[in-house]
Amino acid sequence: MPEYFQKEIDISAHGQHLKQLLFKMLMAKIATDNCANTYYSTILPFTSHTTVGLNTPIDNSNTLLIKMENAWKKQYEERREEFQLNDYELTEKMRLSTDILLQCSPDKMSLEVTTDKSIFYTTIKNDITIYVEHYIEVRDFVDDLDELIVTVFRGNERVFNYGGNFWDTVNKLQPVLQDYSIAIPQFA
Amino acid sequence: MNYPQELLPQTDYKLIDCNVENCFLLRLVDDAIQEEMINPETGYIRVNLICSPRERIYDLSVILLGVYTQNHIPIELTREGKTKFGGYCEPNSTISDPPVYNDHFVLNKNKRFWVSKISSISNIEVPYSRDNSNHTVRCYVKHTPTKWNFWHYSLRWESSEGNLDDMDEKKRGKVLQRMANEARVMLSRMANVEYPQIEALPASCYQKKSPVAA
Repeated sequence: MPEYFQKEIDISAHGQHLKQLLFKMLMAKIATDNCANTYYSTILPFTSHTTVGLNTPIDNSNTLLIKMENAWKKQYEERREEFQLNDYELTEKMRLSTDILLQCSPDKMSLEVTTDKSIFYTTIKNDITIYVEHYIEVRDFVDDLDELIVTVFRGNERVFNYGGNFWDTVNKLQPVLQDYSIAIPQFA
Repeated sequence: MNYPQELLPQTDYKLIDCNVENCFLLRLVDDAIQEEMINPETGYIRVNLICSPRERIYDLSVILLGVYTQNHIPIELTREGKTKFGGYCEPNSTISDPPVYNDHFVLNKNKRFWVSKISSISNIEVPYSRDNSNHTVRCYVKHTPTKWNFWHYSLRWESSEGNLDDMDEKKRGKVLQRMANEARVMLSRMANVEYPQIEALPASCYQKKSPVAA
């Protein structure tokens, strides 16, 4: 097992903040690898110990990851000038929110770059639809300044709605999804 | 080709004052966006087609279906037409020189649209939390006739946090984010790209005096 995965397991009892920091490091490492095909074969040993009995087996996540990356590239190209961060920083921010949602093992997922400098995700798993809008703070490459707005529907019933700081919102979303047997493994 | 008279304000018209909850609103989609209307991944309408990049999502131009029908969808104002006829007006304004074909309007048979039943979106209060405090945002429709189209409506949003104009820039930005997000979520779920079955709007809803029956 790679060293950076081993560290996560060793410090798992040391609180949410450490988890978040490690998660960012992990994302950075994955971004450096920049290879979608090896992504889940790498991450699986890490996630599997925290997801038993929750998510359905990861099957189409690789396909969705590639689709999200392609959708981002195409749409970002059309709106490049509206953003003020460089390509690398923006793509990293997109990967962060994309990856959190992919960990839910969605059945379907889409990404749209909006005219408000945000990324709008629609994620569907069973009868749960998760809408996430990631407002990118364009002045700084710090995730904590980004905002997320999340709405969760079960069928046609709205069961969750929250907006705020990126990581605070992810932390609030996690237990809601867990009620519907959906986990974001790094936060489970 | 003459401009359809039934779209223009008339001297005996008033703001629509009957219950239109069961009517439909139609939104014309910007031609500049070439994407498919429906996202094949999710089955929902693409959020970028809910409004054009030039407009703000929290104040959308829409059209009440009834007298305006699918036959009118191809009508598209030219740049000059927008300048001359795009502005708001009183419902009983007199348009003495209606739009002229080619000068002020053209026909675009490829015009795309989405529709939504008013009761699906109007006056629905949506609770939201922001930084651990609870608020609501509400969508409402307002009849806002324009010189080219008496049936023009505005789809707007308001927040329980107060009037946007009274907020400082930072708070206003955050509230607008919530409105825009809710508009995307709600309309992507409720909007449909199929033209619906519509019923004629009674003349008493928009005429000051209904025509006397023969």
